[in-house]
This record gives sequence, structure tokens and C-alpha cells, in this order.
Amino acid sequence: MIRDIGAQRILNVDLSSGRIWREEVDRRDLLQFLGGRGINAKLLYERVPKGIDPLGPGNVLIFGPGTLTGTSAPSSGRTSVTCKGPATGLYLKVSVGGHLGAELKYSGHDYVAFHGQAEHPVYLWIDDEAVEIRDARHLWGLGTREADRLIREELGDNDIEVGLIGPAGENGVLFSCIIFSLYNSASRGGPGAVMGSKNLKALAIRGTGGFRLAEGEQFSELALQTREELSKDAGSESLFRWGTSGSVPALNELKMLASYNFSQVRIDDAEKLSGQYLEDEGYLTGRESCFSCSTACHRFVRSKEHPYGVVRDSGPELETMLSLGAECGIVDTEALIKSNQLCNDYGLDVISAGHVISWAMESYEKGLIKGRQADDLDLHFGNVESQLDLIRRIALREGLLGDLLANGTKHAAEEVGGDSWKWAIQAKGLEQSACDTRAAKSYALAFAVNPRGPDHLMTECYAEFGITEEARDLIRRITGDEKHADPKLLEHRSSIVRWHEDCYAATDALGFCAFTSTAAYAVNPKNMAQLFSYALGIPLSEEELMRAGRRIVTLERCFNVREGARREHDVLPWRMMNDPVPEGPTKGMVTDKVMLDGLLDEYYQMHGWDLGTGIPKRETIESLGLSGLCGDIAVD
Amino acid sequence: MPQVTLRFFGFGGKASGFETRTEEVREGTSLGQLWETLRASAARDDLLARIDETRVTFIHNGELVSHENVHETPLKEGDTVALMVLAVGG
Repeated sequence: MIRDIGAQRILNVDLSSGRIWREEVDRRDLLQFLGGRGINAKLLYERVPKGIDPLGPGNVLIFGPGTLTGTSAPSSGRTSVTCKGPATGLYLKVSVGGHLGAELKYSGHDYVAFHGQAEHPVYLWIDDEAVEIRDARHLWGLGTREADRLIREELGDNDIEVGLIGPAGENGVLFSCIIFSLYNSASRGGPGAVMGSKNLKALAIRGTGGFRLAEGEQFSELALQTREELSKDAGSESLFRWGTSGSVPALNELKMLASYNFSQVRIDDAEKLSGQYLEDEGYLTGRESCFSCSTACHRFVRSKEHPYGVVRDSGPELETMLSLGAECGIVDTEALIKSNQLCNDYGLDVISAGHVISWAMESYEKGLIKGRQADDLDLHFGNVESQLDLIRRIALREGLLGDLLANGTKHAAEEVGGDSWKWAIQAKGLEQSACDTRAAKSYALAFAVNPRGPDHLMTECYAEFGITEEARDLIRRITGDEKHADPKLLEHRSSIVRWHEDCYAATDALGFCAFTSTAAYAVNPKNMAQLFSYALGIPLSEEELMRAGRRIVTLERCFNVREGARREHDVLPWRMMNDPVPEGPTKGMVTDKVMLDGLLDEYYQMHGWDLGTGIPKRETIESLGLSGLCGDIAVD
Repeated sequence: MPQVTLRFFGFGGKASGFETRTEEVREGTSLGQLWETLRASAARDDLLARIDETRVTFIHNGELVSHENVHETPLKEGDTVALMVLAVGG
């Protein structure tokens, strides 16, 4: 089926009753929320009432590729996965690459919303217009690799796209992920557990249709031009060559490399965690792109010495190297290739997996976890065997410690008690990604206000480091002077964060990869707006696009406000606010309460949110056209 | 003459950061001058000689030095200089 790209459709699946139905997306909504993450947020707000159990049948799990996903726009193959998050009990959006989003579009659907809870394990098979709920009891308990293979075999087509969970999602691990296209992960905050709670093992898609673009020739020309600009960007070059872990050596030299559960800022032999090392030492076997991407930051590696068996797998990415590596005191490349593979196969978010283990290691070394409570494991920092064992125990909720850690560091620290909450590197219930928010103030603010908890994947403020010319130029445009490209400064952080959150939301809504607009900068609000206009035949200015981004961010805020989140929830992990950086040029820095309060005041003011509570003001909601949706929670 | 420790990242070959090298520099030499000397003495097909300077990150004693300031950064005995082909990632 060839259809108009702006005629978007939602495929609804009620897993409790087996009912399947379709809805059209209102064209006005598409202009207001742009698509993808934006429409997902609106659907979630409308369909998930306050207070429901994230792991109960009332939660809705929504897959929404960007509006331009499936076109030739560069790096536009991303899909937003949205639900109420089980780790935080708040709004959750996760962006994932691969090829599944484009396949869904080609099947004639733009969103899939799963409601209810199946009686037994099932998977959904979308074969263009034919949609079928199929038995998945024989797949339950299998790792993602094997289950993916069996689904392809069963459906007799190796070219279909599959998104699925592993045992961690089935077992309700609060940081379980959904794996797309075998090697891409919708990781943070536990979407895998939501899928598992619905008894939904997988989503398999074959799409053979396509789109009509309103002004196809202009669209293709601009898409090609943007792709060429992207290929010249310094950030893209490095992402191609070394992947995300190319920045390990710089972070270590700058003493900004989170290690030993954020108690240190460097680690000996950090190079062994780097993309440069993977390439130079022959671990790297290939690079792969997500749909329509020419950057190809994705790695494929193989083990060399095989101390943990022969491993051929994807990654490891920067966050794997830091969270499972440096944070746990491990710089063994072979071990990390194995840990990464285990997490992918069990369906675990590597960031949280690394940080629950590093929290357990610190708690063990401080005597708060021992003996039977530690499942009789030696949990000293650096113990590879214990890490590999713990990954399995967590995914299967095996043993006292495995089960404890499966609920994340917030719950684990509450259970273990003592001062262990002080080194639980989490806020809102989500483990922080391995960026040191004591010394990078835009990141500190962005992490504190992030609706899903402290990480870089809702608002990436890499530009504040001023590493590339493009980044310094962006900071100049936002603040008026490139001297503000200094992460230690407090001035202008709120404007830097707001620009990035608006841009990131638009990036997600259209399906672009955030690396193209907030790490490299060739995709920008101007060309995103133009591409949207050419595709749909509706004029959209750069300002309108950024305003739509802000509308999405505000709606996400409203979801959390409705759930009871207030200003006091916008915090950083205790260690980031109280334990100073131990050495290096940023020695002594923290982002303490006074500093954070100052940043929040400025940020709320800029957004038009109430300073005392963080609730959006009525005039803000009205000005963004959100009164009909969430006017009832606004304050005067 | 002051001795400085050099570390290279991303320039290929053995320049993955494992091998450090000590370099003697004249009194008063700046980071920028050291960089120019290294480039001039590198083989023509070496990435060090070929690379667009804007693609290099300079780190002096653990602090990022902007390209504008490399000539205003004097080197002294015991300094550490890391030169890396620019990399991003998150």
C-alpha cells in the first residue's frame, strides 16, 4: 500500500480481549506534536489514568517511529517507545534505532499501542494489513537471540523485523529492555518489564508498502544535502570510526571518567575500554547502520582470547564500557564483550545493570552486604566472574541478591539500609548514566529535570564541552558567546538545557537520531522543519518546530505532575550533590542543593512553571495549546 | 631542558594511549609549538601530519585547551600532554 505520509494510523491491540482496531491520527495533532515521541506522549496522557500500576493491564505500551522514519532523511530510523515506567512510576520514553520502525511504517501503520494483558505468552505478527496475535508459550524463557531466530523461522521470512524481550523482561526486572533488530535496545527505565507484564514476548513485522511525499523532489534534495553535511561533521567522523566509546580516552585524561561507582574519576588502563582499542587490537569486526543512517556508529566485535567463551556480538557502547566496566572497576575488554552480550541476550539495560552491580560492590566493600545476602559471591570491585554471575542472577531473579538488584538501586538501598542510599547513584528510581554531573552543569540540570530520571538520552547537552567547532558555534547561537561552552559554568545552563530539550523532542518526534542534532549538528531545527514541510506539504517554521518540541516536553512534565511529581523530585543522586570530585581539574566540585536550586529557579522561570512546585502555569499551558489536554493540572 | 610526557590517542598504529613517550622541549616552548614540531617531524603519510588541526583535542595536565590557546600554554618540566583525534559519544 502506498499512502500519504501525513495520513498516520494507530494500530491498537487489546491483549486482554484480543480486539484489534485502527484509528487515524488527527492532522492537527500531528502538527502540534510532530509524530513519534510527541503523539506517543499525547496517547499516553489520554489513555493511562493517574495512579495505575505500570506492570498492570492498565498501562499502555506504545511504539511510535518518527514521522520521517522510512524516508531517505539521514539517520531517521528511530522509534520512540512510551509507557508509564516501572522503575520510576513516572513517564517513560525510550528511543531505539535499528530497522523495525521503518518496517512498521511500510506495513501501513505509524504507531502500535498495546493495551491489557494476555492470558498467556503471545507475540504480535503484523504482515502489512493482516494482524495476528500468536501463541508464544514456546518462546517464553528464551534469550533474545534464540527467540528472534525461532520467530523468523516460524514465519518463514528472515527479512522481517522483530522487537522482543528476554528473560529479564519476562521476570519483571525493573531495568529490562526491548531488543529491536537483534542489536538495538530500548533500554532505560524498564520497558521490557512492561512488555513482559502484558505477556507479550515479541512484535514481528513485514511491511511492503511505502509513502507519497508532498514535495518529493525537494525532500530528496534536502535529505541528500543534509546527509553530505552530516558526513563532514567532526562528531560523525569519530562515531563512524570508533563508535560511542571513542570518547573514553578523553574522559579519562580529563579525569571525568565515572569509575568505582562514581567514587573515582579515572581508572588505570582505561584505554582498554575505548573504541580506539577495539579497532587497533582487532576486536572490531564490523560497523552497521540503523535505517537510513550513513554514520554507522554501531560496532560488531569478537573475542580474541576467549577466556569467557567465544563471543561474537554487537557493541560494546560507551555506556557499557563505563557502567559495567569502569564503574565496577573492570578494564578487561574480553569480560566486557561477554557482559554486554549477556545483557543483550537476557534483555537488560546495561547502564542500570552496571550501576546496580557497582552499588552492590561498594555496599559489599563497606560491609553492608555480605555472606548469604551476597549470594556468597565475592563482590569486590574488579571481580569479573561475580559480575557475569550477577547478570544472570538479576535477569532470572535468582538468589537473594539477584532478586534484590532486579528492582534497581533505589529499592535495594531501601532494603539494605544504613548509608547505602548515599551511594545509590539514582534519582526518581533510575540509575544515572555515567556522566559526572558534579562537573558538568548543563548535564546536572538536564538530568535533574529529566522526566524519566537522570540520564543523557532525553536532553543531550554535549555542546557545553565545546569539543568541536560545531558545538562551540551552537553555544554561541544559544548564549551569544562561545565562552559559555564551559561545563563548569552555572550561567546560561538553563537556556542551553531548554534549547537541547526542545531540539531533542523534535528530533525524536521526526525519528532522527539524537547524534545528528545534539552530538553532531548537521541535522538542525531549520532543516528538520523544512524536511517535515516538504514531506507533508504543510509549511512548518524552525520556530514552530522548536515550539512543538517544547509542547512535548511540557506534556511529559504534566504526566508526571498528575502522578504527584513536584519540584522535590527534580534532584540528582546524593553523591553528585554531596561527595566532591576527588581529583583532577574539577577537584572539589559538586552540584549541591543551593546550586541546583538556582538552576531550577531559572529553568522553571524560563518554562513558565511554578517556582515552588514545578507545575506548569495556566498561561504556559494555554500558550502551548495544551488546555484541552492537561489544563486541569495547571496552576495560576 | 624540560621533559614532558606525551600520550597519543586515535592516531593509529601504537598510538592508542598505551605507549607514552617523553619529549624534551626547549625552555618556554608552548603546547602549540610542540604540536607544530611533532607534525613537521612526522612522516608525510602519517595521520599526525595529515590531520586537519580542528579535529585534534589537546589536553594539558588533565585540562582541555582550546585551539585558540595552544600557543599561550607554556610547557614545563613534568607536564603531561594528551593529543587525541577528536571523538564524541554518549
